[in-house]
Amino acid sequence: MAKYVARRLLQAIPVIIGISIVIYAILLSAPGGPLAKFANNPKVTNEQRAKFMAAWGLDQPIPVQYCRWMGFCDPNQPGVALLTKSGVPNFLPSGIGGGDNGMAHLSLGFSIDTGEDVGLLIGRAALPTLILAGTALIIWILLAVLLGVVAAVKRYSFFDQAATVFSYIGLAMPTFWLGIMLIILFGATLKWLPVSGMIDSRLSPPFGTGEYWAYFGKAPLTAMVDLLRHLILPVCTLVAVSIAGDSRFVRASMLEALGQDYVRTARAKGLSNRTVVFRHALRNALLPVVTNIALEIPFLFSGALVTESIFSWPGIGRLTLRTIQSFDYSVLMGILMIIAVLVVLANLLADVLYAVVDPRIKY
Amino acid sequence: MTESRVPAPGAAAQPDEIERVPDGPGADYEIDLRSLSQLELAWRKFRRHRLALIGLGLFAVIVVAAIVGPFLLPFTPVPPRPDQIVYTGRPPSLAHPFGETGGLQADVLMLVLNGARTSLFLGVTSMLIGVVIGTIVGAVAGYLGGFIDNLLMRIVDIMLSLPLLFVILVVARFFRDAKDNVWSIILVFGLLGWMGVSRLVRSLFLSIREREFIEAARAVGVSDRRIIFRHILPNALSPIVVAASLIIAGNIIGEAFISFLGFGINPSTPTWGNVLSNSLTFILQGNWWWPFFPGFAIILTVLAINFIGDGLRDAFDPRSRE
Repeated sequence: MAKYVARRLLQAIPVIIGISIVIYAILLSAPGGPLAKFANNPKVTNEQRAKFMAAWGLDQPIPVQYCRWMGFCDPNQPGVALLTKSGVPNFLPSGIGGGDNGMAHLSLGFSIDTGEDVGLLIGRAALPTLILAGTALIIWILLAVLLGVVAAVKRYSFFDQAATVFSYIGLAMPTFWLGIMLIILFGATLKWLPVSGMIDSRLSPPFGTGEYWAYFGKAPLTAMVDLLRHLILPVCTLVAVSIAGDSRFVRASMLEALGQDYVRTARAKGLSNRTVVFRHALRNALLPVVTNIALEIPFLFSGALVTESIFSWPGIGRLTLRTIQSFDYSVLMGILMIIAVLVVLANLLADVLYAVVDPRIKY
Repeated sequence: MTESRVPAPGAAAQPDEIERVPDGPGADYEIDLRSLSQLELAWRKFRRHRLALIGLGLFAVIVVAAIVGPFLLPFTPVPPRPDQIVYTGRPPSLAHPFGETGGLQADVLMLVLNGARTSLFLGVTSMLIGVVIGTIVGAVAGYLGGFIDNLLMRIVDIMLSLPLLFVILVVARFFRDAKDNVWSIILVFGLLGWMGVSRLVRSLFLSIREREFIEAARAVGVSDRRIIFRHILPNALSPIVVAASLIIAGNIIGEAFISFLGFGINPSTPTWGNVLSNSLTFILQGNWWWPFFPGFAIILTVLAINFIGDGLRDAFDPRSRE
């Protein structure tokens, strides 16, 4: 098993490098750039533009910029500089004279917009996304399994058919449309729930700052209730759309398990219906479901893009949209690489989980 | 009996394949045995699928509306009324059954109909591009195998691991300044949406090329190109058609997504995504009719296509033979 995981991780490295090259090339060759916002500003001279581009190394050819981003080139010297000024290869650790830039040194660089460390910037945006996506994921798995199991046990009942209709509609529905309708219904018309942000800015300091945590420590109950109220609509949006496909999947898997011989044997032994359904059938039916959910995790991380933007949720999705608009290459590359790594890891996790939950499978 | 009937595709679902034609009074029946073609068999099964028929009807209505609608209600945004600077729109009424938007005060029905044309055109055209590329790549990989197969499939792996939504957003930038960028968005969806088809086609080719009739074709000296296009491809067609139908649905939703985020088709061109996106400014005023109807149009279209896809899958599936 360990050998298998190690082999898969090794195989993932060229794929991730390939992805990084493709993304980097697409990103940097797209028209525009961090200076596009000054395009119509007569006060910004060409000299100033050139200075800015040179300061950020954006005047170099794209392959050189990529090498710097990877940490193989020294950004303090022009062109392809594989050796640092002290003559040591740049990709080696800085402790023995190598450089300190790029992926080789686990650095994602600095934001062109704000100058912040990209790792910190993404880390700060990750917490709201994790809160939103984590809550959605838990509710979504529980509901999908519950709906799927009930629909399978009561096959062709009214409930089953209603669930089928809802899942068809859910699969056809754009996420953001549901979000908009929820905002109009519960936010604008009924005025029951807040429709934007994570917290009520009239009551508490901005989320994630030191003052916020101090406030949180003083009045944890108020802060939690405030956060939960802000969570309801975006979580509903994410869950309603994702659940449609997964509850169908659980249902199909459960129906297959219920048709197996061991289920008939269990029933013939006189076990109660509940034991048969939950102990015998469900545990086997969940095998494919587990892998399916593992594969969906990275998309929850990135797929909340639209939901975050509708509800002004200060997470990764909003950061991505903002940086796409302002051409903040280093932040964007950082986010995209994290997502690419998550996709690869989720694939691996799915395969490993499959072997863990099903002892018949060996690698 | 003189006249042999040529059945139209729709007539193929006669209760049985044997037609009995009386040949004069008291004469014996002459029996005309006719086997059904694959297409006729599929149509018979498709017709039994109630949801698929509903989907087909619905889709036909939407297509007709998309073609005829813009002639009845041409796209003409009205300038804002001088007496009100911010005009928040009007709910559905007899004159405007889908209501009126805020801002430019356009009829929502008119926007939805004009959007239907662009959105459907985009969905179908980009599907065609994606399916053609995917089929060629999959066919070459599956038929030739070896190094080329490996190379092409690794490219597919990388393309599939790309966060597609982001790539679309970034690539869409290339074309953002064009005045009419419908075609560029179509290309983006086509060029980034072929990987699933290529995997499917490859797996089909891998299994079909090992069959006896391919061996026979090769034995009599049929060229590779002819084997691929005349012998293997027709046998692989039905799963491709099913996949293609679902790609249309995916592309329609995809267009709505990126136009909604402001990276898609030029905001002045009415598409379902653009109408939704524009409505966002006014949602806190509670004018639900503006976003509701374009979204509802998307749902109906995608539902119809999904139903058709389900029907096609059952119809082409040899295991579901009544």
